[in-house]
Parts: sequence; structure tokens; C-alpha cells
Amino acid sequence: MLQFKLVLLGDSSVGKSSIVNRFVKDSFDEFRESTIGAAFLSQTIALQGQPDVSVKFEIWDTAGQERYKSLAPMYYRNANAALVVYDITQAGSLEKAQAWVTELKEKVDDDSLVIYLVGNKVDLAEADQEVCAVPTPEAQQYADDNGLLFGEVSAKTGQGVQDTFQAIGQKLYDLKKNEQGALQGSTDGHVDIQLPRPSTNDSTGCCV
Amino acid sequence: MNTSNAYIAGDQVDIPHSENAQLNCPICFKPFTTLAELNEHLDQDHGFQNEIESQNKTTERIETSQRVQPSKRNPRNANNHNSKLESSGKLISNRHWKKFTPGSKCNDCKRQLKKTSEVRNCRKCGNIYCKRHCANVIRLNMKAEYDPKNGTWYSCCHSCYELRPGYNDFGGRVDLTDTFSNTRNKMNVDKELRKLQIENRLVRIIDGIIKLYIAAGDGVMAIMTLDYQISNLEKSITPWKDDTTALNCNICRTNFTILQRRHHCRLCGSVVCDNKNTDCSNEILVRFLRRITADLPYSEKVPTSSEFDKSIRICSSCFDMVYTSRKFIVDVQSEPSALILKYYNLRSLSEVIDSILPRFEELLSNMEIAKELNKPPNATEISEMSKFRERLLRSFTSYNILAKQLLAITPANISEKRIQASIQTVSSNYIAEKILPMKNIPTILGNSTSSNESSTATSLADSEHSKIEVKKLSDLMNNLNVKEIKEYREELMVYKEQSFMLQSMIEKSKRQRNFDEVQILSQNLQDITTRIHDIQGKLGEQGFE
Repeated sequence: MLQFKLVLLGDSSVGKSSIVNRFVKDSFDEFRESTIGAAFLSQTIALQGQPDVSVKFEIWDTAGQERYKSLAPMYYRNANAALVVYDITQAGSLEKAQAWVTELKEKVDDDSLVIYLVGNKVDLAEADQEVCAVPTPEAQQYADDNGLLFGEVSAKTGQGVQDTFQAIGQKLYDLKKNEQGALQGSTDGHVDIQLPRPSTNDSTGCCV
Repeated sequence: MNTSNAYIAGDQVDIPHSENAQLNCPICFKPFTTLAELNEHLDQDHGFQNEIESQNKTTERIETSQRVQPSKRNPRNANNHNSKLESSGKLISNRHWKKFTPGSKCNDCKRQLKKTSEVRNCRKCGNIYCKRHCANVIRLNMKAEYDPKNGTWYSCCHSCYELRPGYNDFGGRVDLTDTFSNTRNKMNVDKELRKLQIENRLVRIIDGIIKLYIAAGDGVMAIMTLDYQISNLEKSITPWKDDTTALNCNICRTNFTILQRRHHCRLCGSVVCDNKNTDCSNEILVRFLRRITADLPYSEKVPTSSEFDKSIRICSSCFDMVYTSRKFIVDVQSEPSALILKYYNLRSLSEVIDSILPRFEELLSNMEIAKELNKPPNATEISEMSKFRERLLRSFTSYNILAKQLLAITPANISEKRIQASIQTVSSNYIAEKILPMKNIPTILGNSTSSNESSTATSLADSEHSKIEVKKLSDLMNNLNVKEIKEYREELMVYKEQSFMLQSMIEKSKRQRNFDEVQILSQNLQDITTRIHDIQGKLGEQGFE
């Protein structure tokens, strides 16, 4: 099993926690309170098409409020992936997301950091096209220019959430594979993945 | 004759003691054996002595059936009373008097009073006193109530004297505030009127001069006559004081001579000199006057021609009236210069130092006392001390920097230059004076750390001192400003919050036997804790207690 550290960044009330909740618990709370500090959740998924490969996400869901801005570096510093979220009905939130992307690129040396730009609340735009403040092509363009993965989701309906994490998992898995392939010099498609550390949370453990 | 009747009219008191009857006092019915005793009693206790003195020619019988009621007394008789204290006719009520019995004590000195002659009743409260303690006087009405306006002077005890309303220990007090403010308001109104008059004259003179100037045109004759016309105009507006009677300048009082000529102020008309040193009067350009008094209702416009060079002679007091108050208003409204702004900062900083320093000195003296008693200072004292020292040093450093910045400003004018020089002196004096107690610490701390090795104390003190210097330098490099401190504090708070949350998350995970998570969270908690220590180190003394 692969373990990856994933951090969620973005302006306040764009739906970071809702996305995580949809992903981890497959639930949605209309009246969610804003996050304090940074919350931790973990979820293990099997990669589509490769059922034998399971990926465990250690998710740090940071608070978007300005007050907690200083906390974020703590979490994105050794993250493998960053999910930068914006609200498609709030043009300002994309700017904020772009600022986060810039910060990530500046502060994180690791080139293998996977940044995924996510536009949330597509359900609102589907109901009423008027409210959409960030056109998909614009965000897509930005993501392409900066080498980001991009997708639009809805935490409320669950649309695209699983796909997003699948894509991240796939990307991370590929990166890992390449890395180890380069290390071992074997490119025959056979990958020997070493566990980062033995998991005590496995069903094979004694104290379940 | 009834024994209950007594004649007390002066010398001709006639009591029939031949009948061997008991003599009773007509007022208090006290028994007496001899007439002399009764007389003395009446004099001393009932205050008839004075009456007797003043009444030695009248012989009047007074009805004394029960008690002598002051109201029952014959007013004609009373009018003859002319005593020092009880000057008005009627007698004051004595119903409230305490009765004297031998062995009573003076209410003030608690001395036992044996003889009636020693006893005085306070006319106000009626208590018994010895003569010495009933020596004050107070104005009372007939009901023995304090009446400062119409009352008569009666003797009273000290406590009644002090308890009367309006008594104070400092003597009489007269409130002159109203008188003062009335006078001041009157003066201000006068001054305002005077100013209006002067300004009105100024407007008329300037408008007139400009009119004449425009009317005169360019001809040679016209220019010749213009000055004459202007002079006439000035005289018509302001009545000039007679200069033959003026022997000296109205302002500087210098005597007029052939060289020291007389001049007239065109606004107030007074005779003044033209001394350049005293500046008693000056010819001031109309153009300039118009500019500084632009708020006045002029009707004419200043000719644009540069040849318009007319001026008016104005004495210094009129000039002050016209110019200085306007300049003051303008100056007050304008922004203070950079120099002054910096000085405000410097001042507030010195206030901070002044507030910390006494507390620090107190700590210091406490430590010194403890040292003399050979008590080693405890750790909290030392830490508190060093905390204060750190704060003080920081303040001193900022003060020093600010003073240097202040000196680096190029002064805009001469007065600013002088202000700058003064600030320099004051600030250097301030530091030299205030830093003195700081220099005392090393010896104390040095001794406290090496109480046994007194010989090395001085060298230790030296090293401690150099440490302070080093600290000071490092302060210079690492001087957090207020904004940075605020940011760090904010950050610290967020981290502390997060560390608390992580702890509860770890607890929760442990309960759920989710040790994988516990490990991740613990790792994070450790990171956060490191960061907290980091910030606390940076904040130093500025952190939370």
C-alpha cells in the first residue's frame, strides 16, 4: 500500500472540508462550520484499473481563514499532493487559489509535488448558469499554463470528487513508479513497491 | 416677699435673707446659703455678669417665677445690653443646657469640675465645659442655632465651632472665579472690538489707497499728488494723536530727538518711533498686508502692476493684532513637521521608560537589601529582574535610534534647528541619567552568583557588563517592531490552538486504536511544538506570560 500526504488549500468557504467529507465519508453537510486550524482525515482507495494497488491518503484539511494562514506551511511542506480548491461562483476565490499555487511553487522544492486545481460547487452553476463566475476554460487555461491537474467537482452531489482523488492517486503512483524504476533501472513494467513503514492499521494486525 | 422672687438688678439686688429663708436660684432653683453665692452663681452660670455691668443704673424688677425666659424679657431693658459677645437684646435659649452637678467633667479635657465658677455651658450644644474649652465664639440665633448672618456672637465649645457649616482649617476662602471670568470676558470682548476696529481701518485704508492709485494714472503730477492724497486719506480714517505732546515712543518709550523722528501708526494713530532695533513701527507693503489678511472683505483688487509699491506704516502692536493671530491659526492647522512627529514618538517612548524604570529600581533595591542580609536572590526574582532589564534595554535602544533619526532630519528653518539641538541635549541627558541604575545590576547579579568569591566579583561584574553591551548590540540587530511582535503573537496563538487540537485528536485516535493516525498526528504535534518554541524564542520577552 502506498501512503501519500495530501493537503487542501484554498480560500475560506470554498468547500475544502466538504470535498474531503464527501471523499472520506461520502456525506454532505449543508451547514458545516468553518474549520479551525487543520483537520486530519485518512482514506484508502484502490486505483481504478489496478485493483491490486491501494493508495492511502493522509489528508490535512487546512482552515481557509486568513488567521490560519501561517499554519499552512506546516502541512504543505512535506506533502505529496496539494488540492487547491476554489469556488466557481466566487471569482476572488480563484485568485486566492492562484496565490496558493504560487506560494506552493515558491516554498516547496520538491518537483514531484502534485498540485490539483479544483473548482467546487458545480451543482450551483448547473442549476443557474448566471452564478458561475469562473468559466471552466479560464481555469483550465491557468492550470495548463502552470502544469496543474484540473477538475470541477461538486461536494454536494459528489460529482467528480472520487475522480479527482483517483487522478491524484494515479499520478502519485506513476511518479512513484518512475522514481523507483529510475532507481532500479528496470523499466519492464514490473514495480516493486516498498511500504514506507508497516501499517498497524492493517487487518492483519493483532489489535483490531 | 416671695422667696421665689429675686432681684437681680445690679447693685441694688435686694433679697430678704433676714427671714432665714433658703435662697434658691430663680433660674435653676439651686439652693444657696448666702446672697453672695447666689449672685456669683447667677453671674457665672446664667451669664448675668455682663448684664449687671451694663445695667448698673437701671433698677428693674424681673419676673422670675419659673425661669428667666428670654422672650419674656423687657425689650427696652434688653436694648441697653452692650456686651462684647451677647450684644443683641434677647437672651439665647438655655433649655438645652446640661445641668451642673459637682463632679461633672469638662466635655473636652475630662477634668473634674468642682466649683460652679469653673463651669461654662456651650451656648450651642449645652454641654458642660471648663472655661478653657469653651473659649470659641460662634454666631447663634435665639434658638441656639448657627446663624452666620443675623446671629449674635456667643461662646461655644471647640467641637461646635468646628462643626459649623463652612468651617475649614485654612481660613476663609473667597471664590473669585466668577469675577475673574467676568473681567476676562470683558477684556476679551474689548480686545475683539479693538481688533475689529483696526481691521476695519485697514480695509478702508488699503481700498482707498488702491482706488487713489488707480485714479491717479501715470503722470508726473499725479504721482506727486498721490502721496498727499494718500496721507489725507489715512488721516481721515484714523485720528492721529497729537505729536507735539508725545515726548517718547508709545511702545519703547525712547525719547524723540532730531534723529529719532516721530511717526504715526496708520491703524491706531499712536505716535511711535522708527527704530529698527525695537521694531516699534514698520512700513509694510500693501501687497503683503492684503495677502496675510485675505479673509477681510476688501472691495478693490490689488493692481497687478509691479510698480504698485505703496506701503503703510503700522506699529508693532497693531501688526501683531492683524497678523499674529492669523498666523497662529494657520500654524495650528498645518501638519507638524517630521521633526516634531519624531519628537512625539520619542516622548511616548520616554514615558514608557519612565513607567518601567521605577518598578525596576524597586526590584533592584529589594535585591540589594537581600544581598546585605546575605540572602541569595531566588530564581523568580532574577528572572523578573532580567525581564525588566531586557525591556528597558530594548526601550533605550529604540530611544537611541529614534534620537539619531531625529538628528538626521535636515531642519527646515532656524527655529527647527534650535529645537533639534535642544532635543539632542535632552535626549542624551535623558539616556545618561536613566541608564545609571542599569549599570548597577551587574555588580548585584555578579555578587549573587558568586557570593563566596567576592574578589572575583568585580571582574564578573565587568564581564556581565560586557554581556549587556553585547545584548544591546544584538537588540539592535534583532529589534522586533510592534507589527512584527503582533504577527508573531498571532502566529503563536494559532499554533498553540492547533497543538491543543492535535492533542485531542491523538487522544481520540488512541481510543479508536488507530495507531497509524496517532503516529502521523504525533509527528505533526512535534513539528508544531518545535515551531512554537521557535516563535517564543524570537518573541523573547514580548511573548505571553
